[in-house]
Amino acid sequence: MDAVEITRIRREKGLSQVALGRILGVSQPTISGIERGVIAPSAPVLARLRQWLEREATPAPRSPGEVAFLVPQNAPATLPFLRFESWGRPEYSGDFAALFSVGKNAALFVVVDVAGHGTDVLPARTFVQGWLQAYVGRLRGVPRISELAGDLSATLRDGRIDVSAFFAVVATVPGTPHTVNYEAGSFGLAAPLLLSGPPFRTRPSAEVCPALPLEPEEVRVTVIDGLEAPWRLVAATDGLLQRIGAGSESDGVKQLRSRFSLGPSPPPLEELLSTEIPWIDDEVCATLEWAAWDFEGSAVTADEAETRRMLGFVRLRSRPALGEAKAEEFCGAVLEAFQNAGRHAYPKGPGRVSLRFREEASRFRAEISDNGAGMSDRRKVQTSEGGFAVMRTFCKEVFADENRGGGTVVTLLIDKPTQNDQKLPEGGPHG
Amino acid sequence: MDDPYRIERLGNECAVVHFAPGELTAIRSQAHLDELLGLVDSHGRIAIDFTRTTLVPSDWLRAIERMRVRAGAAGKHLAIAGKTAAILKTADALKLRESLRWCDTIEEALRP
Repeated sequence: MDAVEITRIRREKGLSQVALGRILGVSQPTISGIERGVIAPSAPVLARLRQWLEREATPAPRSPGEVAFLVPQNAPATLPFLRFESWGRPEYSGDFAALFSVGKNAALFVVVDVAGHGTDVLPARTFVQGWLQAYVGRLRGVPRISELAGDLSATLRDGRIDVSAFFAVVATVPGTPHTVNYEAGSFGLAAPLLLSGPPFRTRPSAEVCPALPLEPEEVRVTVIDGLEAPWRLVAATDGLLQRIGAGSESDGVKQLRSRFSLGPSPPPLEELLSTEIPWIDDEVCATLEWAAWDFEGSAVTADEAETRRMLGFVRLRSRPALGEAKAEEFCGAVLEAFQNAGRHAYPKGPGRVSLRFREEASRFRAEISDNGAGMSDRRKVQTSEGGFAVMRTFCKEVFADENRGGGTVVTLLIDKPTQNDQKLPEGGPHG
Repeated sequence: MDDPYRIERLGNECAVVHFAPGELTAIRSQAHLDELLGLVDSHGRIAIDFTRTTLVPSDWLRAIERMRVRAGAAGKHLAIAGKTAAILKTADALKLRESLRWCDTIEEALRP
């Protein structure tokens, strides 16, 4: 496989190395290394890379005389702190999901189900899509869901179009790391899942109102101020929920919850939502989650200088809030996770280990991932003596998950001291 | 790459394993383990110098525990110099705090 070719196609498609990395389930440094020819991709990554290249490099075959529809695509939002993914079928349908940038610090997430099926509904879908695009283009600030629903209702009433939709606005909170204000409403769609944690829970994501168009007094909106990362919003239209729930929307929601629980690397939508049950209605599923980190890097297990540099960053950033001793312990847990990856993921020789780190409002989070051998038994690994026992001693919480690109992701969380902690006398609460 | 430790032999009887300052980032290999266990075979008193080391991963502490077990079986002496809080807590997590002997200085660690 030609590294120059990969770079050329990636640039032609307007993808950053980070974006391609997300598609392939690897980090940006890995893509950089592959393109520079200094990293040989692992077998699973190689397979995904081949698939992607084939898909992107080969023009879609077209039979003579075939007319291709051109459905306007929403300009993809370019907000580096959010990861948006959507999946749906058929290609031309009344269901769609989109993410619109609203300035630099906010985004509007929409999932729409225009009444009707397949190509019959395309004109109405195109109209709604274009209306939303124009609405966002006119905005001079963060939109209010009630106003959006009201304005769209007026237009739909005139056009006699029925729409079920979910709208959510997330806007970063200045001065509070990795925190957003969230406002959402669901109009005729089952309330999406808003997964957050820890503690892991599914929060009320939206008030469910009647489908659009509706009267202004029927609009109800859910607001969450100060929603801290991590969170993941999972929305789906009724066709998909009914299929995966074997006819029951509520069972479909349960299926979604079990599949999209808040792990560090959600599975690709198309893999999990393809089932043996035939689809009979238009379907869309979309996810939105916080994706920003204060640090993202990787090192080969034998590269001690790079490992120290990454530990140095963690120490530097966590020390002011945690204090010298706790910051050192957090670094100890990160180092233990690195060593664990070196020992278990790459027993035959050096391999690459990645670190993602961020300071959240009430804690620090580090994710250490590898593309190596993977876990045979997650529960056994998490409760094992040895390396994980050390991590558990140093951190409030430790999780091990399968990495999306193969291998393992270890998540380490350590809480910042609260004001009450700081007021305790020497020796602790009883000291 | 720098060696994670340097062995100082003080005659035929004593040896000190000086670990590098800062965090111990090297992956412990079988060659490291063989060398360290060999040191127990060839010397009567051994000190592990962690006086400038801030973080020690579990794999290295378990290697030192194996040295201690071998030394104990042969009636020899092994102790650790350096009591950094994070290292002691690592030993606690591994349930090795009690079995290993911890000292403040190398001199104290070499003393039977």
